[in-house]
Amino acid sequence: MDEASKRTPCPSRALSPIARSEATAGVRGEIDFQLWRPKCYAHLDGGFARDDGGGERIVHELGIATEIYESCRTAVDRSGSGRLQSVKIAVGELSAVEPECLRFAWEALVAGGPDAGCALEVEWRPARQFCPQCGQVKPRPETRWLRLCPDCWQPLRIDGGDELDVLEVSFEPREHGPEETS
Amino acid sequence: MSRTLDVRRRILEDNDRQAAALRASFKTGGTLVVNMISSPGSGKTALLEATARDLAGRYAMAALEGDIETERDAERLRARGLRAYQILTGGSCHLDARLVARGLEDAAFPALDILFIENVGNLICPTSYDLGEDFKIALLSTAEGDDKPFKYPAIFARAGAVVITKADLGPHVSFDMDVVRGQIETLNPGAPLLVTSARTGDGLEAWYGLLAERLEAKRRHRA
Ligand SMILES: Nc1nc2c(ncn2[C@@H]2O[C@H](COP(=O)(O)OP(=O)(O)O)[C@@H](O)[C@H]2O)c(=O)[nH]1
Ligand SMILES: [Mg+2]
Ligand SMILES: [Zn+2]
Repeated sequence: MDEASKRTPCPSRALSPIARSEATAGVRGEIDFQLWRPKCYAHLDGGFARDDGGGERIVHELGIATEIYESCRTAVDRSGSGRLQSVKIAVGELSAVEPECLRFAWEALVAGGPDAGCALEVEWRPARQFCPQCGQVKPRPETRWLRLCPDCWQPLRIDGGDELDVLEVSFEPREHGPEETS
Repeated sequence: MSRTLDVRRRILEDNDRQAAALRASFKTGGTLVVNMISSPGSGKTALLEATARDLAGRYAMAALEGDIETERDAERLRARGLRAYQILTGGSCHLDARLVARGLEDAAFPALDILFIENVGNLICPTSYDLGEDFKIALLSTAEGDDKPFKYPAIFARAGAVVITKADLGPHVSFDMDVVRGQIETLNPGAPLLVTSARTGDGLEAWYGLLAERLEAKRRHRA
């Protein structure tokens, strides 16, 4: 298969071969935008995040980051356009998205483009364990699960944690002077 | 002066919309759709091979096979007489609703009772993408270890059923079924938990029973 024919530009900017980000705690690596394709994101062995073995994760989060970028860009363009300053999203514990990988992918995605430096603010939404018997949410230790309701020993239902939403986007409207386009 | 817009949009809204359209068409067609999710090598294709062999006369079935590269899985299933269409994702770690819609169009399957979608081998990413299925199943092979449900809670919490595969290997790899059962009951109380071996045939009747029950329920709701 012809690799070149599958390439389309990264939505945030003209192609630059490699984006590198080491600023985000816990995730380091590179994204090869030469292999960029919309939504499906590049070959796993193409070397996303080569140095932490988490390449597959980055591929996934890069896709999510792209969806976020595109919906924010669209929303802002509809409101007169301008430079993105910050984006706030909600990520649920059961959404299968890793916030650190997502921040890394986001940084690499916007770096060097018109929205470089746009911050991604992640609101983490833990899943809640609800006891239908007691009619209450039971507090659980972070990242651990209660086996049964500590008060009535019935099974607990898991509520929420599926969130994966763009909440809001802040931007600098374009009207502020022609020089900013340079 | 910066401005803030209230966006409030599902990040995967486009996918969700496409999935809703697929779900509506599966409903009209009365086709039960099962989205199969597991790590690579857990035995998704092997379970489908056994299913094709054992249920061939009973249902009109087909499979969409999601893989990053190669037609191998679809060929394995065709060799067992199952209609199968390979979707090559070319790098993506999961199937999305658009790939499924396009695959179905190309495959042009006849009217089906059951459509299996074998997702790309990956216990994480496919979880976020609705494919219009009736339910997801999470497969876990004994060789992967009995600690996996808590390590990958998203799929095990949201699956409509959990299938343990390669039960024949359990004793060789110190797989503790009670440990897994406890984790599933915690994350997904009431979810069916099936213990199977495509090699020996153990537990397959329960799997077929689950399919029959869900298909019947779907048809009943349609009527
Ligand atoms: N012992 C044993 N091996 C199995 C069983 N099911 C699958 N396998 C083997 O596990 C490997 C991966 O199976 P496959 O169906 O390709 O997994 P997939 O990647 O999830 O589709 C193959 O070598 C199969 O023969 C089983 O029930 N018992
Ligand atoms: Mg397979
Ligand atoms: Zn209780």
